[in-house]
Amino acid sequence: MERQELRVEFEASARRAGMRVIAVSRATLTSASKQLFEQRILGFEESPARYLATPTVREQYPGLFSCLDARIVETPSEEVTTQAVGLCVAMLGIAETGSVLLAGEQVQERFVWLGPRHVIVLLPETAIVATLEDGLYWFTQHRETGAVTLLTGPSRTSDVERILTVGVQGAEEVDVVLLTSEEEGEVG
Amino acid sequence: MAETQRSEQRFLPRYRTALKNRQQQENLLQFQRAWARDREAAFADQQFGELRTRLTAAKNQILDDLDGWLKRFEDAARANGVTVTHARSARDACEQVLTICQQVGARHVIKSKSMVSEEIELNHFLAAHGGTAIESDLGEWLVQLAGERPSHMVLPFIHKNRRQAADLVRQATGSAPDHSDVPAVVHRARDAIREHFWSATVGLTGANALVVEDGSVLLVTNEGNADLTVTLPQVHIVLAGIEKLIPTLADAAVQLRLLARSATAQRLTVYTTFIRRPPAHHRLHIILVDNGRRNMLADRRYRAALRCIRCGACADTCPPYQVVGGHVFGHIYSGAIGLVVTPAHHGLAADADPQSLCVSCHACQTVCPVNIPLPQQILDRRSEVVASQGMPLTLRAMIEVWKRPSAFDRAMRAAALGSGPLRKAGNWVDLPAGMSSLPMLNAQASWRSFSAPAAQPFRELFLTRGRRQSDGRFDSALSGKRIALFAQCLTDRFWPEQAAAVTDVLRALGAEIVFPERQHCCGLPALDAGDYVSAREMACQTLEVLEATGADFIVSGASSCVALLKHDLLHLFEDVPVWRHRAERMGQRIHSFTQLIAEEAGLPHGIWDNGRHELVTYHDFCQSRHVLHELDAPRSILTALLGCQVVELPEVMCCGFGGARSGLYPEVSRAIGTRKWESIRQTGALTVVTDNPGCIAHLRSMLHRQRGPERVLHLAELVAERLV
Ligand code: SF4
Ligand code: SF4
Repeated sequence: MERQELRVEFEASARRAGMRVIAVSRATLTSASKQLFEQRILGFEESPARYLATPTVREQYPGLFSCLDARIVETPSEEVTTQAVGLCVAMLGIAETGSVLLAGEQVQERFVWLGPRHVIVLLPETAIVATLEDGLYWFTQHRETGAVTLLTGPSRTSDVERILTVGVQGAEEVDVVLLTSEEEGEVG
Repeated sequence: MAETQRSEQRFLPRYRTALKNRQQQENLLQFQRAWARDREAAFADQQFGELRTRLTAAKNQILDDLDGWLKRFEDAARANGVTVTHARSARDACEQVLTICQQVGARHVIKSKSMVSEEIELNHFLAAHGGTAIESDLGEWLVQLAGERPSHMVLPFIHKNRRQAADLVRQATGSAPDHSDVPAVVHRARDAIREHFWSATVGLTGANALVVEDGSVLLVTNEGNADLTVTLPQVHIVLAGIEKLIPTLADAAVQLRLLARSATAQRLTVYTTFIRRPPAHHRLHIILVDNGRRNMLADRRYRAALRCIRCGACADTCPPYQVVGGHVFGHIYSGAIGLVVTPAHHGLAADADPQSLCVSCHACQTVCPVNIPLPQQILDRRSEVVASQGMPLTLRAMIEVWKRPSAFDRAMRAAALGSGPLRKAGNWVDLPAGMSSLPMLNAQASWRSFSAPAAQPFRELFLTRGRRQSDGRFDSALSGKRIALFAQCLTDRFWPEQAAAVTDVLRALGAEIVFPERQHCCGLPALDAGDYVSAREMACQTLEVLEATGADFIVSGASSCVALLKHDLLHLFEDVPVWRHRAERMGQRIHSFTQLIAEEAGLPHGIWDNGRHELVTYHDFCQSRHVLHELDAPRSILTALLGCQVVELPEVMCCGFGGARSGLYPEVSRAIGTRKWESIRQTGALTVVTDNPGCIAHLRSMLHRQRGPERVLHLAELVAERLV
């Protein structure tokens, strides 16, 4: 499948799963200010109290990490997560299901997409693969990776009278920031 | 026997309580309807059949050499730094969990949903040893607070309502939002559960699969509680049945597609996690539980049940389950699979009553993503129960008469005579008003009429009509063919007009009809009762009689008997090669009336079209749909040959007859029948057509209490109307 087709399918699947997908060029993100990121890209009305990020964000997007004043959480606790927004980088996106594949060896990393009520996942457009098998192939190729999570939407339950409630144990909102290589079209 | 009585005492009160639980019935009804619709939509983008063939093959590969695959899995997991142990029994597994907890000084365990932990009753065990296990799945947590067990593998709290949820949350946390605001109640519960994640040292989960290729553990949830359970506490214990293995990650992808769609009609569960290693400085311990699984593996009858991926679909489609719920339809495991695996884990007595609720509609096997022959396995369990405990006395007496042609004949003639004074038009009998005030009779009779045997059985009618030659009014490929008619014992005695219609239609097509006079019963009532010995005896007699006809075709208007002769006998005679071979040959020769007309008669379009475009609805007899796969045949007869307009039923399901089940559990039969009639009414059709006498009798028995539809006909009867 062509990259464009994969992207279209990924976006449709991810939205069906209840995630917000925001396309933005890598260049824009790299040079983004806090205000640009929060207001123009994510459309936040207020700044969150803090960002909890995975080390991968710091390594791969140092500009964003520092402009957001993001923290790598040392010891996860309920307090640090209450008003925090989680920020992590997906290894892959899976077009078939709209999932983002997340990997982390430390509790601190995994907690970033498990604990906060709002999670932002950065996903390079080039990392979108077609099927679940393609996604899991990555895991077979990365033997050193201890665990992967395919996150496909916000946490949910229908346990009480089958009424859907979103944001039960994990995130209530999941935003995927899809990083394109296009020059134009800052905000998709 | 004492054990049986005790188990009955436990079962019957449960059964009666469930019948009064309107909330559960309503929840399950709405759920089953939505599930059927959503599941179909969820599989629209994927080939269910192809996926299930692949997953079935992968699971069979494991079962063919379980020890070899276990060894490979253990090696891979240990290479990842994981501790792997085996537990032979429930107690052994519980003790291992306790030991691990004691080693790390943990008194509290936070759990993510694990059916194995329910199976081994871990929570009780830990409580008895001074520990506590706290469920983290929202539904399970609520069920635990209520002091109950989950009633569904995927939706544990489905038997309760929002008010009860709010009360439980209040009881646990001291306050709760108003029950009308379900999300607020759920969020309050979430906050309460969160605290336990932080305080627990040990997290316990099941496993959705154990991947041999890399030793990883697959966990799926929508809430994310399993991920929190395995991330925050320092020790993670996985309790998994030894059958949970799957060869590769690619196979796991197939399982995921099927599991999410079958369980919750999603493309993928929200949190789908593969764990090879625990986070740094944490420990992962996998306990592989046998607890009866090796016995199932060694027993050819039940081995396929080890393919189960616990999706719950077999409960989601099961009509009696909707009426009584999982606390009655099953033991700890509920739904069809519960009826099959319960004896392996909890002994036959625990299954003795629940299994008797199955109406053998076969809907469960059709939706099972690993194609487990659940209805057949449930009957096998029933036969075990009958062999060890006998069957209800009335049923025993009935079968004893039924299997002897002359005794059956005398009984039917006596009943025909005896019912004379009560008989109304159409051979219907209603219980006199005074008698139905007795509760037992009321349950049986207040909602339906009963068929009485006809004054003259078909075998006698045939003799008088038998001299009539085939008239061959219509050109057909059946012209000049010799067709032997297997009338079915009940049609012969109760509804001879249906066999007469079959005969008239075939004669009009130029066929010569023979009626083997020694024909009696194919054995279905005995099979349904779990009396395999009598079933074989009756089947042998039928095979001998039908084989001797030398006819070109053997036909029956009773599709239930056709299904038995084509399919069930192969299983019944599995260990008797001579008879199995004879059954195979019979299976190729016997046709349902429907199939014969649709596929063999070669009739031109519109042959019986009277131009009125009669509006009808078609009820697929369960086994015509799920076993014989005759879906197109009746519809093509109705539309192409008769020019009818067919309005499909909004719900595809059983009519509630289920043979002797309708007598053993009249309340369930009534509830399913009522649901069926609701569906029929929605079509707006005045005529209901089907091709199985049992369904016809059951639907007709409720007909005069329905508004709307006017008649229920055998397909042959509708065709016969057009001959004149
Ligand atoms: S055969 Fe029908 S009644 Fe029996 S378990 Fe399956 S779905 Fe339920
Ligand atoms: S038996 Fe089949 S349908 Fe039932 S839970 Fe198991 S896999 Fe699902």
